Amino acid sequence: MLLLDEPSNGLDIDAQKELMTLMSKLSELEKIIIVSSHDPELISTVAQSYVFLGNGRVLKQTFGQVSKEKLVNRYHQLYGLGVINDD
Amino acid sequence: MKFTVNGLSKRYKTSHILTNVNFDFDMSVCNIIALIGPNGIGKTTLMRLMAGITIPNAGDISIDNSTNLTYEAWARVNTIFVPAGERGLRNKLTIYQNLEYFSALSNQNYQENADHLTSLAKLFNITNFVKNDFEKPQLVKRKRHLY
Repeated sequence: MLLLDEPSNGLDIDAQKELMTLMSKLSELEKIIIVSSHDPELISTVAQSYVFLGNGRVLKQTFGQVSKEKLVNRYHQLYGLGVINDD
Repeated sequence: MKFTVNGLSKRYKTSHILTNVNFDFDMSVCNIIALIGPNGIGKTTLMRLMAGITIPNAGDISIDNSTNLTYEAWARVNTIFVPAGERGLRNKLTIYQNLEYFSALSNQNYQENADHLTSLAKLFNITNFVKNDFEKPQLVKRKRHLY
């Protein structure tokens, strides 16, 4: 099991894409990856379950892939930035 | 296999970082699980707990497997924790020289670590790449080395 703490920090867009591709390949090899991120837009391309943390607790957990727009909206709802696009 | 975080709490002195954290997932269904939240919300602390390198003040993590290992013992063998940042690797040394250096510092067997690195390099198709100085690769490739 791989535990990746904010692995996309400091990477440019191409490098971020390469990182996501690498994570997908590892996932296909049946490796379990737990990845922390404050970038829902990026992580939506690969994750299959989401655990939203806030105030030291789990605010929400979802299962299954989620579209980038939904995930970003959920992030803004949970962390007090309002809904950007209501779908 | 089910991975369960049950009532996990962690505090440092009087600062409560995590309080009664609960979630679970089926490892045979979900391969990539994202911990989401702004900076400073406890993600790294939770990572360290899941890596078995930090002990909780309350609650536990469990995994339903056939062994009788505690989670911490299981995690030390079965998890690789890649912290944020580069954590002091020596830019002027090659990847293997870094490995030799840090193996010596932590009194670990260099050859065993080198064999493990070689197998990982084959997996990531970077066998020739790891012979370079660490400062030459771009950041994403450095992170590959950390994995």
